Amino acid sequence: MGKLSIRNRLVVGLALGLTLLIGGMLYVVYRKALVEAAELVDGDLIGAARVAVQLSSNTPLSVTSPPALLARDRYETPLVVQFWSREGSLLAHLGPEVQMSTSPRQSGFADLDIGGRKWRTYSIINNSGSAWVRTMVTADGRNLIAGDIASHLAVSGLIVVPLMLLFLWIYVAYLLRPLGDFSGAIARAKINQLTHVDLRPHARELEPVAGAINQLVGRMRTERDTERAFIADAAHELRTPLAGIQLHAQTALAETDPVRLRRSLSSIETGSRRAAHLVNQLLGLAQYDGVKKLPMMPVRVDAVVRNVLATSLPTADARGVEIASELGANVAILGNAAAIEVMLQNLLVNAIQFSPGGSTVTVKVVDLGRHVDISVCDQGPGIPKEARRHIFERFARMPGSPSGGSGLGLAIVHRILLLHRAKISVGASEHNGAMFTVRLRSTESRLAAESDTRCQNHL
Amino acid sequence: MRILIIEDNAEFATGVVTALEQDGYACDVAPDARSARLMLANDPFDLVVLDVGLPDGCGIEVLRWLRTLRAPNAALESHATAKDVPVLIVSARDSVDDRIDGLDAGSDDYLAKPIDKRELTARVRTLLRRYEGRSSSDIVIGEMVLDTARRQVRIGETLVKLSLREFALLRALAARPGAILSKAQLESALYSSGGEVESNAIEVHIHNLRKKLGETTIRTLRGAGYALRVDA
Repeated sequence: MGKLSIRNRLVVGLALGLTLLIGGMLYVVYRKALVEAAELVDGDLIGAARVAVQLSSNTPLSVTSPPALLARDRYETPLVVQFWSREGSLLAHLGPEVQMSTSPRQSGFADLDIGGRKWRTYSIINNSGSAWVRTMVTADGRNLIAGDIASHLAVSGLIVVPLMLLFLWIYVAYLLRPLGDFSGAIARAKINQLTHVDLRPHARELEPVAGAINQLVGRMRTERDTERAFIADAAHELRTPLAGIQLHAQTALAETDPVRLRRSLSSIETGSRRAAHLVNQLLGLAQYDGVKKLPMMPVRVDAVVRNVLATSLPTADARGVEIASELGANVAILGNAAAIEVMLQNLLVNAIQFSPGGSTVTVKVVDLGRHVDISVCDQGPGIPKEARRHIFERFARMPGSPSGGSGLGLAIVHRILLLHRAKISVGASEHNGAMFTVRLRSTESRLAAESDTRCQNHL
Repeated sequence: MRILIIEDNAEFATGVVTALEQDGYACDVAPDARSARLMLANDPFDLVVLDVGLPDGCGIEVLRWLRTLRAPNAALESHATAKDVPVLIVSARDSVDDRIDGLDAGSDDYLAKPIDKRELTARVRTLLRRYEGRSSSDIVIGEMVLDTARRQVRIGETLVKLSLREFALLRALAARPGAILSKAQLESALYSSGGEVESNAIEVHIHNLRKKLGETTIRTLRGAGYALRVDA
């Protein structure tokens, strides 16, 4: 079954509801008509009995059978009038033949079953007290009246309900037209010029929808603009090292002096390495930018730091920078080991790049119970206070920063920290160098936090 | 001719330097706006190659400062480099708006990265030629013609073979024929900073030039420097 349309659902629902309602109404009306018809018939019976009493006191009664009173009108019930002596013999019978052998014993109404037919009877004693008068009609009459009233109603219902549904079918289509216009407006909105979709809904109910859509479009546009700016920035950033390579290659081609030629070639080599580094950093950022969540596992901090130190050692040696570390006890955090390695690697390489030869970069792990602090300190020029806020932006570069940087390292760090819901602080080290401190939540704190909420849930 | 390259990417900067040095220009590199201001304030440059994106600010601001002498830093209220020195922007940004911004801020030309070495040197020659008020690449001094594009010197119909340094020295003296240039000025026009210059290098080059072009071409003004002899 496909998706239900509001129109179909509305009309089908209303059809069912109306049918039930009218059915119920028919039943109630039928019951009520039965009661009313019975009262009417009872009244007639009393009236007829009174007339018969009047008649019998004036004229002597004889057992005669006058022609049956035939029903001419549809509602003219075949009335039977009987006169009985006090002794119990039938004195006179007016109306259709009825197999009736018992005389009335009580005045008033009675329901009798005679030969399989239901009769309504009324009996009274005449004025002189010499005879009983009994009037009777079959119960069919009142059923007929009630049935007719109900069937008239049913027929009008059968005509009214489909007409009403047809009207509804058309009216609902008319009502839902703003929805169609609305979707048309959205469909016409061009994706490459995502601006405020011009939605002027003719129904108040659609206004919040229009608002929500425009908000979504706004958010998408901001996001897309950011992406575009980033792609443009990335392309421009790549252009410079490539332009350098091109220039060096062209000078190399024109160079005759072998020493200068070698220098140009080695510049080409460095330039392409730098460009490759930039591309790698871009890919790294894209990798962590594209995900909302990383698979988290308990990670031993000292193991990760040792790995990072091992990979950074050649860079440090090349620059004549010492690396010192204080790794503390086995602390575990809940995180993504690969991402944390990338993050620390970036921090460490940054520190090494900014360090003067002969200075020391210190990596320290401090267990604070609920948190683990990992700090990387260098003895370089440090980061001016006013610059600290911007250094995590993409392609942010500080004056005096080494030329090989991609401007993306700290952006990657920032992204990975976001994925870990961790914090980073930037300060000055003892030697006025830079100090980056990453605060990660330890596995114990995660467990403690979980049990805390569990306790609160119990309260 | 001395050129300042304001560029933060070291690879690209050395690319520009080697390309220009191959044509006999002396080059200096400023990796950020602060050092660019300092160098422009302290040394006279004949041309500036400027990158717009600098780590500590926009290259356009340096350009505006250079053109208006309105220094954000009071210590650098004037600069040794002339206010109207030719400026060539070399930028990774190549949109029309970026070019317009650069040109309106006072640059004389705008090149988008990547750049071709031959185009770079041609544009540098053009900017210098215009700055010196010539419409041809030839500098004519009496019988002598300096073809700055081909780096050749002719006297009459004969071609004189000069080394790169010799041509650069002659080119510096010919920039303003008759003007007296000190030995220090000539050194600064010939040698990039950082390179070692032998103390008598200029004297050696002058001696060789006189041998090739005739003893009277270059005059020595004792204590003041050297000048090209301009015949009326």
